[in-house]
Amino acid sequence: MERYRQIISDWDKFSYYCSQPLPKTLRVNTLKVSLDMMEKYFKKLGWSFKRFDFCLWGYEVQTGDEISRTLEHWLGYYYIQEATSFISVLALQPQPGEKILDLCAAPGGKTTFIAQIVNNKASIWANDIGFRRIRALMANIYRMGAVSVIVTGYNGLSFPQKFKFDKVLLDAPCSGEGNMRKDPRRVKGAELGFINNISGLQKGLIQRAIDVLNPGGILVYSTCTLAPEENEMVIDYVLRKRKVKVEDIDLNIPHSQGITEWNGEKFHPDLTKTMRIYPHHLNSGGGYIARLKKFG
Amino acid sequence: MPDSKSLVEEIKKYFEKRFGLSRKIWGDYIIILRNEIGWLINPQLHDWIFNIGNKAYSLGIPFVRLLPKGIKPTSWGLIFMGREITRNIIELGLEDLRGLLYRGRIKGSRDIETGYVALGYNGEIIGCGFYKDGVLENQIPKARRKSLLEILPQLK
Repeated sequence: MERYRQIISDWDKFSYYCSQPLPKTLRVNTLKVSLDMMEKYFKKLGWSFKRFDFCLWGYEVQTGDEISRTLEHWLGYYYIQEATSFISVLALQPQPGEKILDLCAAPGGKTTFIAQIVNNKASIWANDIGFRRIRALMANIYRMGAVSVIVTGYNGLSFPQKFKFDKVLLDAPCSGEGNMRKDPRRVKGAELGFINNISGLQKGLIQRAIDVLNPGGILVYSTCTLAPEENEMVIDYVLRKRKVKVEDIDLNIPHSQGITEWNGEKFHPDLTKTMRIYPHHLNSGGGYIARLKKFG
Repeated sequence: MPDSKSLVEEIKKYFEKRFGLSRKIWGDYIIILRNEIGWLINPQLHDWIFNIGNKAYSLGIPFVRLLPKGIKPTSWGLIFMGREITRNIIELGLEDLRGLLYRGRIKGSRDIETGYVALGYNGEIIGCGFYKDGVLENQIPKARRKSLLEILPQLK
């Protein structure tokens, strides 16, 4: 992580939070249960809880229990979800009636959150590759009661262009550096060789994601890594390759702006509209979110 | 084999009669028949499903299995309907639930007609069972049964 010292202004705070355990956080699934009812369950379980400032459905809970081992979790009343991973879906602003693609959807936390926001009243397409990933995705869709979702197994790089969408979420495969609080091995940062390789995949995926958008459509690109090669450099690349512009993300969430320079390479000035989330912002993992609009 | 329209109607009637679902609930959903499964979807998905052909792994949630001997409700479907189910619920205590999950069946005469039932625990619908001649059989799929067994020690 040391190589990010130059772009993370509050380095000491960042380092401190990286060394702390992650709080237990979850999303209440209002497709199945009301917030009031779930709060009653929390009390019954003896958990203390605090609602997120930025999202009605997000909770941090304090308990010695394993929060995945309850009947309420098994029934799909809540989904264990980290604060950072709420943001890409909120930035997408899904609306009832829209056609929405989640291109790399497994294990389904964001897909089912989209279904929840639109109250199962949109057409949601969840795609991923690999039998185990798709199996996990389907199980979560069924558990959460997301009847508005279909699942396919296309390679994202060759997703059929005959299908067009109003919105696309590309939560891209990444080096996962932002998960350093879940997995301490990640604290030292990912290998540069791996970062450069996966950056190529991300550039391919984002182009295909834009190609399946209707004109005027919205793409949200997100990762759970801090590497500029997987974040700003991917967006800067696609701004030159496709007719898209960066949009402001209309969310009141503590964050740092996307960077416009890295290792001497300058990027498009609009990248300041993108969001970097560091662990000290939300007491969470780290990540990156960009919202793009297709024109032409 | 009836055509798909009449089979969907048969599924709806089955759920109304067997589980007491209200007729008006179908206004919110469509049932699509594919690969011997009746899938419960929202009406907005309908157009896509015909364009996508057989490339989809999953459409909404699997609601019923279409077996040669008839309609079998899925545990996912019964859990989804949850509190809408008013008939043929077998409410289990912890020991009965444990026995059912470990042994696959429990004995005990109940005032219920032979057929599929909704398994209840603590006021929640937790899946599908089959009741006949005083024996209740578990119909919760293996992976779900395993994960439910894992949380049993936490249940009270």
